[in-house]
Amino acid sequence: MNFSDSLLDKNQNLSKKWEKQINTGFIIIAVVLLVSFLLGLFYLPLIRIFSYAFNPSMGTSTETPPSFFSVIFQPLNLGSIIFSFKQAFISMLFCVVLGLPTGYFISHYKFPGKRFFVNALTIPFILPPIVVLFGFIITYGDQGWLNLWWIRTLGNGHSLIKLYGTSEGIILVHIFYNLSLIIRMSIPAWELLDYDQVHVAQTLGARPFLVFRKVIWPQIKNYILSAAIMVFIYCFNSFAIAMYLGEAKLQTIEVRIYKLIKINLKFGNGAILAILQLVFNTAFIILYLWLEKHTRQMAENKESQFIASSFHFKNTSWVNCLKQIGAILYLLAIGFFSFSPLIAVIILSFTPFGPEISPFWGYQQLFSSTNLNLLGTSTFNLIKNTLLFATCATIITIFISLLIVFILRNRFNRINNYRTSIVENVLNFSIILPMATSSITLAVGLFLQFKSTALYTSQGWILIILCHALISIPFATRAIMASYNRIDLELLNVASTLGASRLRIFWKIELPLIRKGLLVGAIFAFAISIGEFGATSFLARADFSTLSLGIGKLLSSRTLQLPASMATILLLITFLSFYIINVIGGKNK
Amino acid sequence: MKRSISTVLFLVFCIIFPITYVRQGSALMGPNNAATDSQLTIYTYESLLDDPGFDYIGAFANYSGISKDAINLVLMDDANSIVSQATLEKDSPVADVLIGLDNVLVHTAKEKDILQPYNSPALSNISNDLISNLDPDKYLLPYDYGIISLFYDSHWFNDTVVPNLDNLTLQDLADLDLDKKLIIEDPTLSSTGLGFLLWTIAVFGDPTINFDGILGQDWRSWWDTTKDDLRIAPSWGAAFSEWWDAPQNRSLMVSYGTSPAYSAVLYDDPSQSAWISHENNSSNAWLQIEGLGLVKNAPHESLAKDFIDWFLSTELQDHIATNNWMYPANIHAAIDPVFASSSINPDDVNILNNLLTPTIIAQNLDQWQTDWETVIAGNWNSISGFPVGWLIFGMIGVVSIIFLNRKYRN
Repeated sequence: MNFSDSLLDKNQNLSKKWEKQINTGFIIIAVVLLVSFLLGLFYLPLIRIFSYAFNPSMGTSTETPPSFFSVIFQPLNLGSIIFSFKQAFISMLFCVVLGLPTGYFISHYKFPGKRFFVNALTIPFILPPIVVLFGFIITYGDQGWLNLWWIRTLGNGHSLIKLYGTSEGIILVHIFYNLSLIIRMSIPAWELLDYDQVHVAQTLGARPFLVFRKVIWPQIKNYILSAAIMVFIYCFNSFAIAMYLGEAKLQTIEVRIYKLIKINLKFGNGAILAILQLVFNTAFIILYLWLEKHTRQMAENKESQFIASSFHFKNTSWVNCLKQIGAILYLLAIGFFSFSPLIAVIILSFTPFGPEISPFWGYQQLFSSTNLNLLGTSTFNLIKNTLLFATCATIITIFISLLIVFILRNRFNRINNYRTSIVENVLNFSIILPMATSSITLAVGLFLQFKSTALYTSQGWILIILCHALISIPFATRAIMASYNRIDLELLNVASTLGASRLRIFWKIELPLIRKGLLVGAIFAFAISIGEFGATSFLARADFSTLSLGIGKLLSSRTLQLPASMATILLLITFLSFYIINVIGGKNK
Repeated sequence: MKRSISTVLFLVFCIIFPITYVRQGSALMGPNNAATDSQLTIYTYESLLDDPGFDYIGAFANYSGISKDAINLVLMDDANSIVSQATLEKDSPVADVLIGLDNVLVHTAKEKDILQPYNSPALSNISNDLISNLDPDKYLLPYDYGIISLFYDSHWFNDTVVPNLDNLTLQDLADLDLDKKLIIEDPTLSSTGLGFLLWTIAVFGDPTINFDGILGQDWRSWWDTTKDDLRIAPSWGAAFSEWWDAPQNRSLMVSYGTSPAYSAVLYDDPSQSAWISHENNSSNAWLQIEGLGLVKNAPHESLAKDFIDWFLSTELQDHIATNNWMYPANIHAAIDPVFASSSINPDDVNILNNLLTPTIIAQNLDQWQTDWETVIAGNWNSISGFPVGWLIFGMIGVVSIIFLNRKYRN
């Protein structure tokens, strides 16, 4: 009896020990996987860029070594740096000015289809830039609907908006693209606002502007600023939009890097600009993270007591009536601005481009058995590639992000050690750095690193998938981490005390609790992969082209119906994919 | 103690694993290299012979008896990408043949040392002028040619809209505000656009290098006066879709002297025309010659040579005119009579290439492209007349308001 007891004890001890070993093993494997992934696909290519920038002998020809400052102060490069800042700042400003009231109205009023409206506003954000551009050209271009209408009404032959070669065009598209980001982030800000303070201030006789400046602004400031910085970063690194609309007159740093490396073969100069861009981006990201941390602290222990009211026009003062009508009109205008380019694309795809042509001609052409010469491959192939890349990139992204979360949140050895270790800080930063790297820089790094290996020359699709994954990992990790931080630590400690292994805890407790974060991360990864244009066009060749590249090529066909049809297909696929991800992720809830 | 050992082991593992992984990656992938299971690799641009389309790979497979799958055709976005890809692979070439470099890009290709000369027997059927204007050293062999022109639809653009249309000069385009109707391609991105840039340089001249051109002026001033009126598209395709979509808005585009033949041959529609400039009583145009070349240290040299010979023979050249919409280089190649009557024959015009020789281009091309971008980007400092200074001022204002706010609160 005694003997078997001690045997049991020993066994238990042994299994405990084994378990500990296994857990350690798992963590080591996780760390190694992560480190080798980041090192092999991000840091080595980055080092390669650095070596091109500072070591002239790496260049392919006998070009004279460019000096850092001569490259930056070359008028074209300097112009692109200034323009990047300028357009990003103005776009950000307009987004905030337009987005804040939208968020206010949405949070303050109940109306049928409110959730749908908010979700639909997000659609432009996840669309490929090429589709957005296309829709914009149809709606607001030189011969766009708006300008035609304007010319017809006024009859003076001047168009209202000049989209090509002007900053206005680029900024307009950027606003369209990023407006939803501000709206989304400002809704919780308005909902969590302490309205008692506002009322007190009003009772004490403060004028509206003073109330806004002294009471409201300090409370919503961090939400708005962190969203604004996000918008700034996106606009700062804009590629496809600046490339198509900027003509050669307006170039962002991103376009400049692309031109220097891909067209002029001046690797050194491009690499120097890429490093400069990386420095700027890192600064913005650090600012963003700092603000976000403050936002999170402010949001803690706060419950929204705010109840939205529905529109009512009876038994109310005319001022209130007018206010509500204003709100409705404003929301309608924002809705029109956000949806019209998308609807334009769909309508155009069903508009026959000539007599005796059916409205479905574009689709028939795309899906006929013969390959379209212009595409170099069949439409099915493009759809297959797009979905395959997106699925693989999403799986890899989620896997790696989980690894990161697993490592960062693993309290296995440090249950009593509440201080964040240096390792954790380094790891944190090394994960964020890819986020600060623009997609062209990433593609350039991968390209310079792998250009002579078979990975690039014959298996380029792997590189495209990995590049997509690399771009989405920081976002997915943040989404997962956000939901992870909400898990009650006690729960894990209890499970641990009851003898559950680390893996079991992860599988049974943590994973179900972070499902929503995973879902958001997956949607992010999928959307980024489907829409990615810059890096893909850098790495792709005709045989593994994607739908968004295909649309770009079809723009040179003799009809706009073909690219519009393909853009509609892309829209449809995007919607369906999100629906499916939502269904998969949302079940058992 | 145990822990420190495992830490060290772990760190070593961390460092070694990625390196072996990267190394192995290339080693493992190596045998899968397309070059081993194909006998010929060709790099070209996407639109080669594609409209309405001639299957040159299938035709060469038939001719040579190798299977179609053994030919690895890699389609790049444009000719620039072909050169950059081949340059990057210079140490271990993958491609055997490059198709689609023109008489400007040939300088880059030669400078990067990616081609080797090949004196093909098929050259006997090609005019000497063409060979010497493309590359006398025969690194690149001409397969087609055509002049750069401004392409228009005569419904929108004709003698009644613009009197004396055929005798206008480039300067007239600017003076008559016709540049507001013009779509060009970015010369830093597109070879057609580059051809047009060289056209303007040859006509106006460049005082900075003491090159007089025809008029002895400065090409930069023409671009400076027109830059705000022009529409600059990133590629020929993008330019074309805009031109096609709204001809009443932009009715002129930089294209080829052979472009009108497309609708004339395929749709029996002779309404499209091409325009070239008329300085000093002669019609002046820039000639673009496209060529193909044998890659230096090509893995399959003999088959590559067979392919080049075949590409210059009438078996392929007969298809050039009505599929690639250029004049075939082979003098015996068939040319559709409608094609000939509807396009501008380079033999009938004063070719500016004789003025702007390959040596001058090779020396100045880089500087010209940078100068062009600088001239075009001239107005980056303002946003529709809204100077940057105000903006920086505004930025400072916003930042100071934020900080003041904080100060008041505390």
